Amino acid sequence: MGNPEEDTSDSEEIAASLIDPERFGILSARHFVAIFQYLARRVGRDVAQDLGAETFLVAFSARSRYDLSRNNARPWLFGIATNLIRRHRRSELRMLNAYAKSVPAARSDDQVETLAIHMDHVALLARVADAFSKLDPEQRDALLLTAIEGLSYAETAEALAVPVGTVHSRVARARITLRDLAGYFGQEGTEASISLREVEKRS
Amino acid sequence: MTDELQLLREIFQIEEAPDALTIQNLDERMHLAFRGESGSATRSIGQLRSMHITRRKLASLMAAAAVLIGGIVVAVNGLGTPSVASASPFRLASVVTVQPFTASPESVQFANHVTCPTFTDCYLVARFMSAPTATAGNNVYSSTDGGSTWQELALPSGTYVETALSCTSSVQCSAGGGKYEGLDANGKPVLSPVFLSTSDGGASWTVQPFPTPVLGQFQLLGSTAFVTQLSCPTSETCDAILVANFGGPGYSTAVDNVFMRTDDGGQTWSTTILPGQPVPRSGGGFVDSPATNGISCPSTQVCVASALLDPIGPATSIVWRTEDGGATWLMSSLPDDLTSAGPLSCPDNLHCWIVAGSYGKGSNLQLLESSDGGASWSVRSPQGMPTTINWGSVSCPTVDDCWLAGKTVGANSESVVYFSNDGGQAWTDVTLPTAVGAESAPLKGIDEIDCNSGLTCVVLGIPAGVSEDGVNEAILTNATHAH
Repeated sequence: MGNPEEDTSDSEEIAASLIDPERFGILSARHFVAIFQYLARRVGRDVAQDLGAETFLVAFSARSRYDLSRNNARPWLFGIATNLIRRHRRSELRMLNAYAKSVPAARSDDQVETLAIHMDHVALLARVADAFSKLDPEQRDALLLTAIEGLSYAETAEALAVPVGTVHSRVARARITLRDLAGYFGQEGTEASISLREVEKRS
Repeated sequence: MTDELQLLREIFQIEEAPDALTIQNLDERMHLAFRGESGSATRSIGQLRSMHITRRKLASLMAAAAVLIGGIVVAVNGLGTPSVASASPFRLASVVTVQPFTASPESVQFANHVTCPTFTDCYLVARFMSAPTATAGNNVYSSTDGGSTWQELALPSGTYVETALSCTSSVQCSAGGGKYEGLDANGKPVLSPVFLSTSDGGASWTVQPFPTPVLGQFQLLGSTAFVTQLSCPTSETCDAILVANFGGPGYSTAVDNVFMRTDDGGQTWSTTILPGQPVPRSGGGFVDSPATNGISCPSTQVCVASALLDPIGPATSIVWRTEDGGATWLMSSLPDDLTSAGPLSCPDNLHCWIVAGSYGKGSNLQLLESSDGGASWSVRSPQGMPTTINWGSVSCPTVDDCWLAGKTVGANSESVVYFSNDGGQAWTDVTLPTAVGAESAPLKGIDEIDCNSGLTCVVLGIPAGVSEDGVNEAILTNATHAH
């Protein structure tokens, strides 16, 4: 049997929750897993357990100010979660350091050549993780929301309360910086350095 | 060629699915919030969830859950290599190394707070990233050589120290911590807030319970109260800030600003809730209270506390002060739309320095001073200094002498320290060692600077790069005769 609540938009549920608060639970049911996973990736599972619930409590408290013309509340929720993460900067940096340090074990049946490729790749991942930890927090937010969480540029702009153009430039600068800091593109890395300086000069 | 976004996706590919306890926690907290408004019985989030996430999808998400980082523990050793920057008054005292810890994967911790009450005597607190277990503890370390080498201090069984630690002499320290009381019905550790004190440099500790905080008609929910800030102007007088979850008829809120005060070394405590917190909403319930960031008590009568505002909520005060030992508190406001206040330092009852910023910009970019005990504040960011410095810490042991520490904003950040010996009229850019840690690179940021009245400072900083010695923190000091 179909569930009529699945046919409603987030904004309709938020509007309904102003009269019937329980309806806001639909938002939690729809988006909690995604928000939790986002938080866990950034600040670790333990902190995410608290911040996940906190995100929805903050949203519930603020729902009367939600722009009901926006049908999808996902960007709004990601924005709240992103703001909450800022209280946990050290947890995030620890997580990123841990990413950079985590080296997947090679299988014992790997051939020498395969193993070498594997270790090269692991080393590259570690450099990218390290480079990512050195990005500006604003650039990290924009890059994670677009590249990992799958938000569009417009949705990311909505989440971060900045113009779309700002998201574009933050993502572009983040990518250039990543290449530059990770230093894995050889000649392109040099070009990236120049590009970065140009971007910095213009901004 | 591999795209950097593809690599990034590989790094972040692990999906952590919420477990049943996490869902239950959400369920209970939302349930309380709903009841606060509707006054009626509600469906659980679990029931609502089942409408929208098929059992199969949830199962696959659960199966995908993986623990990325095992436990890590701080192993403290004197790995210090001498600085090559002869021009710097600071030298590397040691690198505090965080290494994989296999015995108790839940006991993740990292160096978080360091203080040196004298030239040579220092204390370091490692912070747990997850709930401590029955056997966890011993997360305090001491040094008698200015931070070059460290010894683990044995805490009473089942206890641990939060980051809150305040030392009034080389051997006298007080700390806010927790005591493991077992598991609750949901398998979660029950931790009661305790006050630990030592008068022999950490060889032995006295453990005293904090009384259960009371907030009007509301009850403490669970055993979630813990000390976040502690400032002890004397060995007998300590001022503590606790965070606690309170609930009442239909409400649940985390209150960050429970102030408790002892004048008898922790035997008895008085409780106050800082004014304006929590903020009631018109429809019932609370807007979440700001998170307290710091407290500085230059005397037994005067304390100033600062906080970070929630991302959503009415603008309320972010600085409070008391002139009567915490019995009454007054709100102060900061100028220029500053909505977050970070660490602060008050050398006497009238003078205070604080770093502050605007929420959402993520940085404490401004330095402010008060010369009336925290009632009013003026922006006093040093002239000629780049405006893109995120100040991590301020320490002013005397009215004239102040240190500021932080990092430049942006990629390839650099650590910075400024010093003034004329009450902030003029600032000097202090040269730091250019080669720190295994990678012989400069620090990429400073989280904390702590200076005593003898003008010895200790710095907790982040070494550049990811070195083979693990996730670590570098400790710098300007004590010239130590080691």
